[in-house]
Amino acid sequence: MAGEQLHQRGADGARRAKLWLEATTRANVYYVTPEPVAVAKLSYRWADGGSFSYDLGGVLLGGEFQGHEFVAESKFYDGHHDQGTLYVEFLAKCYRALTLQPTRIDHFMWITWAPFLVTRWSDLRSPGEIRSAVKLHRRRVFGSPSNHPSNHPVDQISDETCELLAERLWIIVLSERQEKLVISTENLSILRAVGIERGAG
Amino acid sequence: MTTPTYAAALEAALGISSTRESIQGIKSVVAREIEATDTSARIRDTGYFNHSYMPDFVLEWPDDEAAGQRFMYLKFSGDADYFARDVALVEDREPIVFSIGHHRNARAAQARLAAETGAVNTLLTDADGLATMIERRDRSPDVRIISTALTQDGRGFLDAENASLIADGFSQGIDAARSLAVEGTRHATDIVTARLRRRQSRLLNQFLQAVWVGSGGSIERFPGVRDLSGEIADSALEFLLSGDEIVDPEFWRRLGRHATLEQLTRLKIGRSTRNLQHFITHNIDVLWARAFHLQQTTDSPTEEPAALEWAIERKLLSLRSAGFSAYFDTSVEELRRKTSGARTRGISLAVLLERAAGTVVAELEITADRRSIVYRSDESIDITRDERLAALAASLGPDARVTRARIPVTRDRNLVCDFTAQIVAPRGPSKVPMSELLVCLPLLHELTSAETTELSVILESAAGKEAMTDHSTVRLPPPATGELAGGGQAAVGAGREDTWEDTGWELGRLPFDDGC
Repeated sequence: MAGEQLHQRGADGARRAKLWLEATTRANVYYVTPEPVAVAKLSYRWADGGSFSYDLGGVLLGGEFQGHEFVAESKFYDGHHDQGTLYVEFLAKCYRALTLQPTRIDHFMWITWAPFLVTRWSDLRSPGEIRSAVKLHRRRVFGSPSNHPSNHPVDQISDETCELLAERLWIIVLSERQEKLVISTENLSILRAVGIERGAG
Repeated sequence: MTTPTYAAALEAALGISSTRESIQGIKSVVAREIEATDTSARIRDTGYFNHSYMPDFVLEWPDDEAAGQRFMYLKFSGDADYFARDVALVEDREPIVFSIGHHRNARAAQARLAAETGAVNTLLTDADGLATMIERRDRSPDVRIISTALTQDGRGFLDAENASLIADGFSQGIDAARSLAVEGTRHATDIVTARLRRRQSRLLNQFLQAVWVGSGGSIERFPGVRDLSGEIADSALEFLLSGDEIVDPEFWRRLGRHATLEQLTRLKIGRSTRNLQHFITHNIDVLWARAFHLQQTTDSPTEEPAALEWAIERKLLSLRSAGFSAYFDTSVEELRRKTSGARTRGISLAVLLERAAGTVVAELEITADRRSIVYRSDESIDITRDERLAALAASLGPDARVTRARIPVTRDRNLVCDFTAQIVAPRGPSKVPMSELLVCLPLLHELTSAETTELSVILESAAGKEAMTDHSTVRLPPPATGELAGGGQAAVGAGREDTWEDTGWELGRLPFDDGC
């Protein structure tokens, strides 16, 4: 797939994820990339000077999640492709974001249209998987070894942060058909009337 | 606030790092901008932000129930294609969509959006579009009419350039209608038709037509959608009543053909204006009221040296002087609710006779020591000149007070003047033209010679119209006959403790009301 097509498909995925999340009535997605404002809001800096950003960000609504802030990365893929590699990188990004702003993000979501790493599926959200991912991307997470007196950045991986992140990780697998199985237009009108009276707060 | 300020404030809010504070900042700027665009709108924040389905704000117009609600969505517009798809998701509610950020490309996309949003009755705007409208509105009060109409019913693309074109075209159209210039007026009616949904389009067309007809143009030659209902929007009437003085009586008469007291009391025009004086004076025969309540005051009218001044206060129309305010309403209950005043014992017969000179009084209730006498004539003959009346009052002792009087204004219509409650209303549940109620003003309050003169001018204006128009309902009270009322009857009532409710206007149970 050409780069431009990939880019377009990525943007479509983020937008589709927003529509689906909001159709559940439990989310308000404030920002979606590649909207320039969203990119600025969802970006973090790696320790080595580079930067990364999530695809979506907003808050969850209602029940136990009321007002919780979340970020998400979306993969509108028709197969697993390179998701395994990208997911591992995603875990390192989340570790970095959580380290930088421990109280900001309550939920980190990986939203995909195709399963991946199926042989390790049950471990994908484990602290061990996170530790491995951070170790792999340690230069970006912690910077070059010369920045650290110990010269052993791996020693800096916090078990506590890995466990905290594991509790905040979501993997959501969607399908194009599932996107249509959401609240009907008729019921949406009713919901809208109730929603604006009650408010999102 | 000028054009760049709202956009700059929005940019600053977008740059706040805290998500919550940033969104609060953005919404605060947008709400302020809407409030400045349309001061009549009430804005409710739903708590959502840039949601695909839920609006960010709900706009309502408390003083204009027919306007209903309008949803307002904030949407990022960095990508024109996605922006268009976002708009399509909510177009069923014909909302306002306020775009945050700037289109990457733009002309083609904007042209397409303009066509799409116009077709679906959605108003698509941004910080600069509204700011331009605010700027024009601050410079030229007549733009207020269209800026309010746009928040309620605007459609299409309202960026800074379009806002200028709309504001200028409409403003110049009003001037054109005043001078009966066809092209300028047609341009304004075209704007109104293209840029507004049905209700406000109809109301603003009616407004332009009213100015056209008020300026002497024939309705057949009006270059817009001709309307025979004669209605005029609140915002349009507010503009005319607040604007430069127009002294042409015919203009105000034509404009007020379908005026109502209810509409006048909804208007926000400040307490009093010169044009309000013209409007009321020249339409006092077509403004119907249920009652007026007189209160003593110490305020002075704002429009010196006029002795009497029309004003809108407490959501009531009032006729004010240095010593009193007479509040008019279409409901006695509402009048009671909105005004207050201590009850009095009434006035002495001597005072009544002095005030009633020239007015026919057909029935009186005189009370003393919780006893009352009702004295009335068989027909609508003036009893104030009856010598036996004074003897009757004297028989009740020095504390006797006139508590009520009945004034016949036409063969089948009587006014009851309640001196204890300071209220005048027609007998029965009907409403009457304000010009008829005003006949009783001199009975409730002793007017100065200047006030008497000005009241005469007002009443003569109504009488003049009666002479000019066959359909007028104005009937001034008949002049005093000068003959003594030989047929007076007295009825002695049981003592009773009046209450505010007791003296309402269901007077049928009292002997006072048996006469007519």
